[in-house]
Amino acid sequence: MIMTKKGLGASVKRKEDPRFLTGLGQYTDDIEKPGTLHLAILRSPHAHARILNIDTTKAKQLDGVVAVVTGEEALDYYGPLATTINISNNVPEIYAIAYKKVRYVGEPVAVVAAVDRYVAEDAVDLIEVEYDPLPVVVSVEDALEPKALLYEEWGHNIQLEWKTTIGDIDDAFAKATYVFEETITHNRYTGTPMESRVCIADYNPATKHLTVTCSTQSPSQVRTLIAQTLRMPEHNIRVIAPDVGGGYGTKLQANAEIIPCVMSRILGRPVKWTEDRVENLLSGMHSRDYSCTLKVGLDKDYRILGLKAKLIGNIGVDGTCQGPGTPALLVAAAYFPGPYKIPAYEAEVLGVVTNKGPYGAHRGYGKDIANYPVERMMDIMAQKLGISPVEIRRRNFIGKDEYPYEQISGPIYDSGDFQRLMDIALEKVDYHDLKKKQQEWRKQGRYIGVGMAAMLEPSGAAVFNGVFNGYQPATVRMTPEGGFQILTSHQNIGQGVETTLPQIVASVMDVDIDDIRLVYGDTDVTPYGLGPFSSRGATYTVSAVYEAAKKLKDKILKIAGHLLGADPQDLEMVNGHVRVKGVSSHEASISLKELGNKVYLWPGPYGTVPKGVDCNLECTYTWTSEVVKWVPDEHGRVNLYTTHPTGVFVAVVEVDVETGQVKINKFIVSHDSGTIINPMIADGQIAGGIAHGIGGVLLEDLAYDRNGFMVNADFQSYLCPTAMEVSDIEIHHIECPSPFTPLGTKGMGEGGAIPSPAAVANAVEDALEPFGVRVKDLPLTPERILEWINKGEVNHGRS
Amino acid sequence: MKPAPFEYLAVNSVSEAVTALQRYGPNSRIIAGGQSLMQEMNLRQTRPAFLVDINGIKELDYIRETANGLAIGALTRHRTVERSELVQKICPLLQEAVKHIAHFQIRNRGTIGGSLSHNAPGAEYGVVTRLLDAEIVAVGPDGERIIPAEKFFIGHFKTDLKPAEMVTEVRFPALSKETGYAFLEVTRRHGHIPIVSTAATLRLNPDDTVKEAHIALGNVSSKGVPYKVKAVSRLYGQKLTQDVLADLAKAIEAEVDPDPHADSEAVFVKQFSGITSRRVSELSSATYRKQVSSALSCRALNIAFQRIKGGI
Repeated sequence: MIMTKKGLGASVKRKEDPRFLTGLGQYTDDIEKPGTLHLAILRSPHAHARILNIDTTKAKQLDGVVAVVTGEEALDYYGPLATTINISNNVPEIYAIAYKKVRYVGEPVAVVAAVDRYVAEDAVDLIEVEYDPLPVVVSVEDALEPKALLYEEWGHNIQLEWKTTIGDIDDAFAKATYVFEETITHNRYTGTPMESRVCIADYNPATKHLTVTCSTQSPSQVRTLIAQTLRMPEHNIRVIAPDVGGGYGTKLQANAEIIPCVMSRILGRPVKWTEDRVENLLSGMHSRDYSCTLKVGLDKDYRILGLKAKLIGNIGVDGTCQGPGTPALLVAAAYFPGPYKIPAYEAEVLGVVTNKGPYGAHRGYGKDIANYPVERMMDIMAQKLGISPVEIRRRNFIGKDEYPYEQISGPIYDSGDFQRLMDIALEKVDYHDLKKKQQEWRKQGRYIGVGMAAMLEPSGAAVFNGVFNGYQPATVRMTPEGGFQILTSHQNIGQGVETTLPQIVASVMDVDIDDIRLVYGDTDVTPYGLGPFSSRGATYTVSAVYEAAKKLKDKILKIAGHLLGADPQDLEMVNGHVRVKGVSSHEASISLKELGNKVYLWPGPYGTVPKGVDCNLECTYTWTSEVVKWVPDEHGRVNLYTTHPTGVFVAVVEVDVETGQVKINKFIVSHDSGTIINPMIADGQIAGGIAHGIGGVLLEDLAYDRNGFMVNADFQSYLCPTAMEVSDIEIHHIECPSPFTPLGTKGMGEGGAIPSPAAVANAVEDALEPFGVRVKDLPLTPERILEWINKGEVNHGRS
Repeated sequence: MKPAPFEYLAVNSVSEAVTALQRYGPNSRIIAGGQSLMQEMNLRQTRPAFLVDINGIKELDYIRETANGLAIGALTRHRTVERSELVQKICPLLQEAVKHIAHFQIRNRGTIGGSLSHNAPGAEYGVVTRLLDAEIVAVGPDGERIIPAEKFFIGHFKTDLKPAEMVTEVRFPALSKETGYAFLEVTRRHGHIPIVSTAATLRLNPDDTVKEAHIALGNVSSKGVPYKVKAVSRLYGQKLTQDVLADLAKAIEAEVDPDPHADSEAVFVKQFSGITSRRVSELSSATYRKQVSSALSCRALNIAFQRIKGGI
């Protein structure tokens, strides 16, 4: 491994932080082009209704209003939303602004462009819409009945249906000594980036060029989706993404962004739309909202013989065009086996459309769905068997010598050591001591519980059919003055890439990271490529940057060899210079600045660049994974994820049994994401992920009533955790490098969010063991906890 | 998330404010700290045509010692009350309660008059005024009147204030040195709006039997007003044993009458785009509110007891 003090493996302070911390960042909403019009969107107050008539007369008469556009009028300028992803899904024909019908509360119905947002919102008040309400589909049962059809042309409400059976599953259950079955559910929640979606579209009628500045994770993908939806030549579209205030997966599509684009195209002027929080909660990307029935057969030694999973997801209005959420359910089906050895497996997936908001990605993307039910199930089985939750996991873990491990469901796990991770977690939390003390605390009326969840985080997806494929280009460029630029479509969304990617180049070139800048966020500047999704940065982008840097280094050495009269093989790069290995004399060395000057300026390339070497100082490399298998086999198996970080997470909680309040005292994490580029940033990712997990398990819930109204569409009633709700987090790393990436790195942005809900739920159940509490629906509200305590369902304590 | 158009008038005296309220009628609203009103306006849950800004009435920002206790000007910020040595000395329960109001940024702006006039379910000041039988001074076109806390609160987001009246002062009785007190809440998140809030005071006889005890609860009344517990009188003359408290807990559960329907009718409103939205943070079942009422009440008495005994 290459190690320098600012290169790979160093906790370098983030280069991007000074501007964020001093208020000098620039987000989309900070940008105001002269002549900009501001948009406000009239949204549907109905979950499901026909639009009979829209009267915009009064709105258009308001002073300051420039245009009011309905879904029907927009049809002259665009087509249905382009598909972001389609893996055996039913893809609806839907539009950015509702046409004929509304299908969820918050769906855009008409758009006002006015001189400012105030006037635009006043005009929205003046639009009169006549609706014919239709029966509302809220639950999975409503969808299957069907109470109504969201898309009449389908004849049903099923967006995804998939099943696979691998191995002799019936035989496995016939031979099992113990068989357990549980249905485990999860609430609907979302990523809540601090910056909501914002988009400025500027169409120039003379050049017919469209410039779109927006808060997105994936400028290139957005450019393609806009081109397809607006039916415009893609080469005339430029997408710029300035500083982005968080994404978490929720900014990986162009649905709402189409609205400013179409308005600017109609008006020939720049328009800006800044999503408010209510809009974001109603129409941003939702996730989870599933029910999963697991059936597990164990032999007499508690080893798993067979696993059956039946997953039913409540998608909401759509998860293919509006957002890319639906295939998350398939990811879950590929990963229910998780860290365990499963000899026979059956998975059945059903995804139904309902009158809830769009389904997208949100930190986890199905890996969380695979994790939560299984890690809950491990604890429930341990309780029922009267054994330790540690033991049941240990008996079923994949062994460290079995990697690369081909999981029964198709994925190939690159590396890991779950037993060691468990050892570390137990030691650091002082598990056995804690379990002893627990008894003492109970005598004092204190209910403290400890819960664990093993974590497997597939990262770096290569999804066929859509804008989430498995390639990533990067260009590394040396300037004439000897500094470096990295050009990539990998957007900075707060994950630290302005620091980590330069760390890679710093390692290769042996230069200071301050001499390297990441250039991103402009499709006119970077190679066409993909953005950060599926924690692919440390899998794909890092590998691309590494390979491109190596190519450029080779070229630099060739040129330096030519200039120094040395064999490039005998040269090395040290501290911003190329020199003959081990020789410190001035004559045997050339600085990068001198080299760059020679190539480009004085004298120039003639005589400087040797024959056969392309006369520039930049190299591009597009990294693809060698292990991806995207053609399904006879069981529908594929291998889309190249890397798999692992971990064991332990939560310690205290429950107030009189009020039902849960306090998380601490999280202990033992974690392995292969080679770590920047430990401080890796820890930040884990902590942030845990905060998301705590939100999902304790607080956050996109709650709909029976009429399909979201009852908590603002931050007063939709509760995100604050620093006070996020416990102390102690993180310990081991490093089992991935054999599938050149540096052994593994993308690791979602690992915190994946296991933390199960760890907390298991800890709460452990704390309340004397009351026989079985954790059911999430989030764990004080009211639910108290109800479970009163009910005392599990018969092993108070009787 | 922009408010509907409104006219704005800044005033510098109570009489100017009252005149303005009179002139602009029921479509006018007073703005002080704006910590509830601004968000409701921005969501277009409420659309006052006229805003009367009273932040210029400097003479309403005070905390004074009176013959019987404290007088606090309506424009006094929560943070001022929280940091006041006078409040600490004369009515420490109030200080305890104020610490529970949201986060310090909000306490820097929010005012006592604003909180009381808004009467959001469970609001801390409401519970304390009701517990201590505080008096609310209001000034309107017909002059000043003094409204006892018991009469002031009418329902969720409703008070006895007439359209052209404004709160000018709140008068709290002093707590004697021998009085134990406590303020507790159940919230889902640090600093968040309470599901149930509780304030209690306790005085003991020399033999540790209860001389006097009071408990008030927020957000448990079907009428949407702070609620003063009756069952507490059964403690008089008794020692606070576990049995006595368990008995009280049962009585409180039976006594309080939260009505979730009244809640949801009061708290769901139309906002921008005609979308139905919620004005309060937490909906909760009557059963839960009852259970928590009794749990918090007993806990509050225990804390009050320990305070008397010097344990806190």
